[in-house]
Amino acid sequence: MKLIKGIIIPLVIVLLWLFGSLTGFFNSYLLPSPVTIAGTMSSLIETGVLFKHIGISLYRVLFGFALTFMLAFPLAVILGMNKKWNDYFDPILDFIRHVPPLACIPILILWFGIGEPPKIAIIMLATFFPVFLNTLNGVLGCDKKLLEVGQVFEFTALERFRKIILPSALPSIILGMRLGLGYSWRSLIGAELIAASSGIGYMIIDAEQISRPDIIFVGIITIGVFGYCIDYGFLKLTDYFMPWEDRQVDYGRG
Amino acid sequence: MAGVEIRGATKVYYIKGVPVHALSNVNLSIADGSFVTVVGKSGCGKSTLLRLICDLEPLTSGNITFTVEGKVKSREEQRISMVFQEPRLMPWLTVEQNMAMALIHEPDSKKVQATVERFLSMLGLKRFKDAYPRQISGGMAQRVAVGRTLCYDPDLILMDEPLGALDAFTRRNLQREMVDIFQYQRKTIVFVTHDVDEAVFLGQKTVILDSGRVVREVEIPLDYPRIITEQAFFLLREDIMNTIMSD
Ligand SMILES: Nc1ncnc2c1ncn2[C@@H]1O[C@H](COP(=O)(O)OP(=O)(O)OP(=O)(O)O)[C@@H](O)[C@H]1O
Ligand SMILES: [Mg+2]
Repeated sequence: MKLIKGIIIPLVIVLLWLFGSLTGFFNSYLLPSPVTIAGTMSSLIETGVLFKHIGISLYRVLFGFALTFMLAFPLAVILGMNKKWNDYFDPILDFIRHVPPLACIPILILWFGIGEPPKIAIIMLATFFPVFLNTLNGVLGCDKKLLEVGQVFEFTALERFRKIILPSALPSIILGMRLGLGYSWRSLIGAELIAASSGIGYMIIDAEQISRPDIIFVGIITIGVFGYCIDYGFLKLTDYFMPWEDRQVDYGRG
Repeated sequence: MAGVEIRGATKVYYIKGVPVHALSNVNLSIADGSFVTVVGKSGCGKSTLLRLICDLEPLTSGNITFTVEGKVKSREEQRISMVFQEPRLMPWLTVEQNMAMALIHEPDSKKVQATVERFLSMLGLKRFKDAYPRQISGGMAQRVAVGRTLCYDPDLILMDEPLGALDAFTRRNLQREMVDIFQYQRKTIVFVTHDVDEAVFLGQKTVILDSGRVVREVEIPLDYPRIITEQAFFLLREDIMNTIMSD
């Protein structure tokens, strides 16, 4: 039922669009008809071009994300469990947090050229804070009363972390990962638009240069669909890892 | 088993810089292997007393020592467990897992299983062993908390109104179970309640607290199991009640 409700509005948009195109109301160069776009999409799929670009973008996102997670997660846990260190890290982290990743692209290109490293770096900058801050909040927000239970049963620091802090922070951690993935996807497309020779962002900017708005639309739709799918997969994962939470699934918020 | 010696225990909290004397110069001996109940009005310092014994909170002044068979022991050498005033269950663990978490240092998983199983059935929780805390009632949650502490098998059990959330019938049952546990396992138990009936039904000694001070210690020289309709029971109850009400 929810699925049907969610499909109504996109369907209406496509129908209006189709109607506008068929009657010649829309300029077919500036806004190609959905039929043209579908045709372009299927030929891009057939020739494997689309999947090549998606594959490269996806690989960058996952690689950059994994790298960031390995950095941000332990740092957040360590700082969350040792509050006295926060004074050292707070100012510098706050400084970096306020710099938009895309603003660093020029300097990253200067340093690394336009190969993979600047793109991975952009993703890391975009992903770090959502993962770090949400994990930190989760760890800091752990109920002191539950920690006292661990204290009574003489838990070691590691047991305290594994049995109490981690599960209680899990919802925040997963939220951070979801946000982080979303951010990294978006910033990567930005980076690919500016400096790349492959990836979905490149496919779009290249289409502009060869005057193929239909390909641009295919790119935009692909980005949206993939973002949605990644988020949906994450929500499923959340349900799987947190069976004690009795939540209604909420799609694509955040 | 372990006894507790409390000497000059004082605990001052500060609420916005204003000192609150939760406990003032409390002296109390809890004999090795005895069942002591603590009663008093809300806010008189009962929970604070337990938290100090358990070392969840530092004393402002005074000291607390433990004795085992006449020898003085430190806190570190004691297995002490506490049933908190709220159940404090881990929301991400099932009833069974919540109880098993007290046995985290027990390597023999068969033994863990058997212990948990035993207390699950004793507390009437068997049918709910796979439920999560949000799926059980308040009274059941409180029973899980009691079960968790019993699984831990401590020398000294501290209980902060553990039966407060239960209906009269379950409560009566568990009071009997408490007496059984005490008699057969020979634990030292300190049991906080605001129910004078319960205090007299359970304790060998009842400590009356008021505004952070011990106002009286009443010996309860009755045999277990106690019969609440007996004259002696009734008189002790009235005596304690009058002491609490008089100030
Ligand atoms: N963490 C705290 N910070 C400040 N004051 C506290 C704190 N814990 C307890 N107190 C104060 O200490 C006093 C005794 O509290 P305590 O919780 O020991 O009472 P209690 O006898 O257990 O009451 P109840 O029967 O309502 O549970 C109260 O005045 C309370 O305000
Ligand atoms: Mg209390």
